[in-house]
Amino acid sequence: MRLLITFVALLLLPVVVVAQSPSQFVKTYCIKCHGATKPKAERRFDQLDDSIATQDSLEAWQEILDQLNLSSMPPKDARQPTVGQRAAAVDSITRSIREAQARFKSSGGHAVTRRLNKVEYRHTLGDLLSLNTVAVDPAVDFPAEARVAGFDNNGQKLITSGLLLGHYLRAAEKAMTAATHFEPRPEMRTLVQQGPFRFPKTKKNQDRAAIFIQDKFMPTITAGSYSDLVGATPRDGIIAFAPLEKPAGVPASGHYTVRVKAAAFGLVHHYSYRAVQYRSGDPAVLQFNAVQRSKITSNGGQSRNPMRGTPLGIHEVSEEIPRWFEQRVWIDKGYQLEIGFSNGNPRFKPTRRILLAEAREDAGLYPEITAILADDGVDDFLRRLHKVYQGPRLRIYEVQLIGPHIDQWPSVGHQRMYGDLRPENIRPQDVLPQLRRFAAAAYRRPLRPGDLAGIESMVQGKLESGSKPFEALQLGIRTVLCSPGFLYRPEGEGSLDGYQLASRLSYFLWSSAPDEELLKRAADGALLKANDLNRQVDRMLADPRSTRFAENFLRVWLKLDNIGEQPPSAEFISYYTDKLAEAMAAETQHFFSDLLERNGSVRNFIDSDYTFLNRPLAHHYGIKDVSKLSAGSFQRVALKDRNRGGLLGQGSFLTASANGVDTSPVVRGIYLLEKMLGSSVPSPPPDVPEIEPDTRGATTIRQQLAKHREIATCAECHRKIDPLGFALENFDAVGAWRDLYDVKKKETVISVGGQLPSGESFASLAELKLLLLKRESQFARGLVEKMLTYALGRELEITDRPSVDKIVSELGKRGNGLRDLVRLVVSSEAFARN
Amino acid sequence: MKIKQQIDRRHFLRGAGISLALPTLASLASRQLSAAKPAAVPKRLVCIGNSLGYWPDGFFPTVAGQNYQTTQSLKFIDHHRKKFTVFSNLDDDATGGHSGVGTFLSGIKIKEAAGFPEKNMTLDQRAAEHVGSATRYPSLVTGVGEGSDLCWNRSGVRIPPVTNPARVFEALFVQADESVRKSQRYRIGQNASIIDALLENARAVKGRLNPADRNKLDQYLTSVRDVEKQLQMSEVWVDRPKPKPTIEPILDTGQSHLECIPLFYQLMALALQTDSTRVASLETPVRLTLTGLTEMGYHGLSHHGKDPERLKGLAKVEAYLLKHFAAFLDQISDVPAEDDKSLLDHTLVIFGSGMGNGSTHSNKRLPVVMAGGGIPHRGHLISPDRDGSGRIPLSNLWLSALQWFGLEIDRFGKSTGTFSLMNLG
Repeated sequence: MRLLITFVALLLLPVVVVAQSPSQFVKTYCIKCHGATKPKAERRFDQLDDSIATQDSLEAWQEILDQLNLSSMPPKDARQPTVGQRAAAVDSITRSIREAQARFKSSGGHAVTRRLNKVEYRHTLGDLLSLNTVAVDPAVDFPAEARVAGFDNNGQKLITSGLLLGHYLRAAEKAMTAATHFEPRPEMRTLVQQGPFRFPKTKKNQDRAAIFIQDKFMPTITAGSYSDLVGATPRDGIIAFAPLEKPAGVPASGHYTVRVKAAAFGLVHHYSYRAVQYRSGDPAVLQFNAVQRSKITSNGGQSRNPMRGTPLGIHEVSEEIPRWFEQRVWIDKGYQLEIGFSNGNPRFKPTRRILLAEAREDAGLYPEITAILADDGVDDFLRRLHKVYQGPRLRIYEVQLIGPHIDQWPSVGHQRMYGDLRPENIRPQDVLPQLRRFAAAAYRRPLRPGDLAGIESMVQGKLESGSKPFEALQLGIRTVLCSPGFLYRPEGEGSLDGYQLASRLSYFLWSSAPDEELLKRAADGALLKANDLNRQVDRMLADPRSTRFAENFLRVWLKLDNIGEQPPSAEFISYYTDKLAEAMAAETQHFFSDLLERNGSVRNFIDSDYTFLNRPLAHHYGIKDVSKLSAGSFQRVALKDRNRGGLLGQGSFLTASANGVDTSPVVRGIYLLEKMLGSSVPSPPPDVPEIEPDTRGATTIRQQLAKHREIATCAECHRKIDPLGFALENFDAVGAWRDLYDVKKKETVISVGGQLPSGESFASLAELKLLLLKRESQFARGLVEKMLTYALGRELEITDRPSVDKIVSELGKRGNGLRDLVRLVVSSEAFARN
Repeated sequence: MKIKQQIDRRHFLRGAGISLALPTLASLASRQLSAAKPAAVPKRLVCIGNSLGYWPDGFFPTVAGQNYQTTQSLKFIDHHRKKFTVFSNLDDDATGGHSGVGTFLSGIKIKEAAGFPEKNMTLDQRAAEHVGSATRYPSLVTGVGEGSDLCWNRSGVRIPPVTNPARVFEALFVQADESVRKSQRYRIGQNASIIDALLENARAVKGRLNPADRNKLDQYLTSVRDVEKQLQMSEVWVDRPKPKPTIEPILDTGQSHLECIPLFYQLMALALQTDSTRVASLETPVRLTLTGLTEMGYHGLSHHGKDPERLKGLAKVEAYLLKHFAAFLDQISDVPAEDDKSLLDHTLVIFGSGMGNGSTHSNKRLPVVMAGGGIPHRGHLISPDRDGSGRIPLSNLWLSALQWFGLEIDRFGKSTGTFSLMNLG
C-alpha cells in the first residue's frame, strides 16, 4: 500500500533524484567511525544493506535517519555531505524504511479474520434480536477500536481482550433479556398531559423528580394552562412528561406517536445577542428526547449540550397561534419523554445579570426591564424579570403519547431465540434443536459439525444436572452470542464461498449480517454470479440499512469522529445552540447519499455548485436567504459562493481537520493530501523545532512556516503541505468564514494564495479547486483505495494494484459515478477473494 | 436507608475502571490471599495524569537541587518539598499531540503497541497485576469526563475510568445485602459455565483455521482465560465484608467535573487507607468543564498563543488541579501507616501529563512529579537534555518505580535501564 501511495504522490509532486544509494552514503560518511573495528557507540553500519531485510536493520536505518534529520551526524570534525546530499539521503532512506515497514506488516493479501467492530456488533446484534440499537447502543461502553489510517475494521488490528469479553458477556445477557417477549402483546394507549408541566414544591409533590418541580427562582414560566420554556437547560427549558414518571417510562419498546401543542413568542426580540445568545427572528426549535431518568447522573444544567438522552426529533415553531407537532418515534422500554427548547439560550442564569446590567447602563434600552428596576435586592428583581421578559419563549400547552404501534408480536428476534417455545412448555429435548436454529441465524450461515462444540455439551450438562430447560436454553443463547462464530468472520484463503461473500457484502453496505434474501442467494450459488451481485448491490442500497454505509464509510474516510473529539471552544456559541456538529455530519452524509443514489460523479467531492443544508448550517455558512429551510430537515441548496462547494467547503471537513480552537495550515494540508489526493505524509523527523503559536501578532503563521521551510529536511514535505492548508485558512475551526484572524485587528488579514509543487498557482480556494479538478482521476484513485480498504478490512498491498487499476480505469470510462464505484468494488477480483 | 435506594445494583461490581487485573496463574496460586499474613508494610502506587500538561514556564523550576525557587504550579505543594522530586527533560519520545498523551505511563505509542509483548501496558496496571487478588480491587481507575487515556492493560486496551464518585464509594464501602450477593454468586456461576463452553468451543474452531486466523483465535482464548481468572477473584471477594466508611456517603448528585476532582482524591486516599486497593489513578480530560472557574474552555486556554489573558485563565485551571493534588498529599501524609511512618511514605505518587506543552502539542519534556514512597527525594532533578547524547527515557523512571513497588523486572516500556540519576531504594 505504501508503494501505491508513494507512486500516487509522485503524480502530483516532483521528487529529488537520488544520486547515491543509502548504503553508499553510509559508506562515505559513517563507516569510518561505525565500521567493523571498534565501532563508536557500539553502532556498526558496515554490513547494512539497502534492502532492509530484518527488523534490526530497520532500526539501524531509522537511527541513521534520525541523526541525519537532526544534523547531529556526521560530527563537526568529520567529512560532511552537502545540504543536497543530506536531503537526498534522507529522502531515499525514508522511502526504503517505509517500503520495509509495509513489507513487515503485510498480511499477504488476506484479510485476517475480522472480529465485528463496535459499530458492526451493535447493528448485528440489533438486527438479529429486533432491538433498536439506534436508541440504545449495546456497545456504547466497549473499548475504542484500534485504527489503521483511520479504518477501525482492520482484521489484523482489531484487538480482543478480557475487558472486551467481559462486555460481551454483559451485553449478551442484557440484549437477550430486552428481546425476550413472553408477555402479552402490549396494548396501544393514549397518554395525555396538559399544562402546566411543573408542579409547586409541596408535600404532595415531594416524591417527584426535580424536573417536575417549579421553584421560585426557576425561569420556566408556568402560568394557567401552559409552561413557557426560555432556555435550553433542565431548569430553564426542558419539561418532562408526568404520565411516564411512575411507573417509570414506556411499558414496552416500540414506535410511539408524540404529539405536542406548542407556540412561540418573542422570537424577534430587542435584547443583545450577548445576553440571550439567540439570533433575533430564528424559529424556536422544539425537540423530543427519550431519557432513562435513573441513568442521568452528571452535568445537571452545566453541559453545553443539555438535552439528555436520545434525540427523537425536532420541529420548528415560529407562530404565536398554537399548533400540533407530531412525530412517530421509537422509544425503548423504561424510557421517558422530555420536551426541550433546543436552540434556546444555553445559559439563562448569566443572561439575567447581563440584562440587568445593560438596563442599568442605558435606561432606554429595555423599557420593560427599566420599569421593574428597584432597590430591593437582586433576587426579587430576578423574579420580576421572569414576568416581563420578552425574549424567545417556547410555549407548551399539551403533550400526548400514543402507542406502542406494534407490527409483529412477538418480534422476529424473539422467535429466532425461542421459536414457538414458551418457558412453561419447553421440554429438555427441545433445547438443543432450538439452540442450533438460533446459532445458525447468529453465525450467518448453516451450521457445520463442530460449530457448537463445547456449547452443546455445556447446555446438555446443565439439563442433566437438573437445570430447567428454559434456563439451559437461555444460557446457550448467551454463550452463542459470545462465541467466535458470532463475533468473528473468517474468510479463509482464496475464493470466498457464497456465505462469506454474502457477509462481506452486507458488512460493506449495511455494517451488519446478511438478510434472508442474501443467504438464499448464497445457498443456491446465485450470488457468485456477476449479474446477481449487481442486482443485490442495488437492492441493498435501496434498503434503509444502507445509510450505515454512508455514515461509517465517511466516518473512517474523513475521520468525522474528530468532530467533537476536541470540542470547539466556548466562543463558538452557535456551534452548540444550533447543534452544528450533528448538522455538519448530516450535510456530508446527505451529499454522499445523493451522489450514491443518482450515481453522480465523484468530482462533486472536489467541487460542486450545491450542497445539503438545514437552516442553522446555512446560517453558519453565511447564506442570506434561509427562509425556505428548516432546522429539522436537509434540503439541496444551490451555492453562489464557490469557496463552499465540494467537501473542502463543508463544515465537517473543516471542523474534523481543526482542533476546535484554532486552525493549522499544516494539519489541514495533511488532511487534504490524505483525504482528497490519496497521498500520505510521513511523520515529521524527531526534534524539528516546534512551531509555537503566537497570536500576539509579532509573526504570522505564514512567516513561521516560511521559516520552517528554510530547514532542508522540513521543506521537502512542507512545500507540498502548506499551500493546501493555507488555501483553507478563510475557514475557522468550525468552518465559518473569516477574513481576519482576529476581528479586532485589521492587520491580521488572511491570504490564501499559493503555489503547488507543480508550479501552478492559485489566489483563492475556488481557484485551487479548479486545479484539483484537473486531478480528478487521482482523486478517484484515492477514493477507490479508501473504499476497497473499507470493504476488505485490510490495508491494500502491492498485489492489489491490478484490482485498483482496473476499477479506476473502468470507473473513468463510466463517468466516475459513485454508485458505479461501489458496483466496481463489489465485482472486483479483490472483493471476491481473500 | 436513603443510601441503598440510590444504588443501582446492576452497577455493582461493574464499574468499568474498578478493574480486576490479571496475575498469571502461577502468581495467583502463590499469592492468593497473601494479605492475610501481613509482613512488611504494603507499597502503594498512585498515578495522576492530565490531558493538556502544565504550562512549562509556570511548572519547572530553573535551578537544580533542593534550593530552587518554587514556581507558579509547584508552590501549592511546596510544603512537601522534601517529599517530592520534580523532573526535567524526561519523556519517551512520543509524538502526535493529543493522540500521544496516552503514552505517558507506558512509554509505548498506542500505534506501536502491537509490536511489544506487553503492548502499551501502563505501570499502574503492571503494579496491579503484581498485587493480584491480595486486595479487593487490584486497581482503582478514576477520572473525569473522557479522561486522558491514562491506563492501558496487557492487551493494549485502554481501561476506561470510573467517572462517577458515587460508584466508587459504593464499590469501596457499600456491602451488598445477602439477596444481591446470592444473585452475584449465581451470575458468577453462570458466567463460569459460559466461559468453560467458550474455551472448548474456541479450541475446536481454531483447528479449522489458517495460521493468521489462528493467531486471532489465540487472542480470543487468552481473553476467555482472563475473564476466567476475574471470575475466580470475584468469587474470593464477593462474601468478604467491606470496611466501614469514615465519611458521609457520596451520593449521585450530578457533581460537576470540578467537584469530582476532590471527591476522587478523597476516595483514592480512603481506598489506600482501607487497603481496598494498592494502585489508584485519576485522569483529567481535555473537555474539563470549568463552569464557575473561567470563561473560556480548557482546550482553548491551552492554545494560549502567549496571549496574557488566556495564560491567566490557564493558570487558574492549573492552580485548581495543583491545589487538590496538594490536599491529597496532605491527606495521606496525615494517615499513620502500619509502622511509625505515614501513608504517604509508603505510597509513590506520580503526577504529570503525557503532554509537554499544550500550545505546541509537544509530547516532549513532560511535566513529572514523583512524591512520597519514603525515597530520598532530590528537589528538582534535571536529566541530560533530550536532544543530546545522554538522553534518559522516562521509562527508566517507571522501571525504577516498579522495582520499588516490588517487581523483579529489568525492562519496562522504552527503558534502557533503571533510572540512574536517583536511587528509589
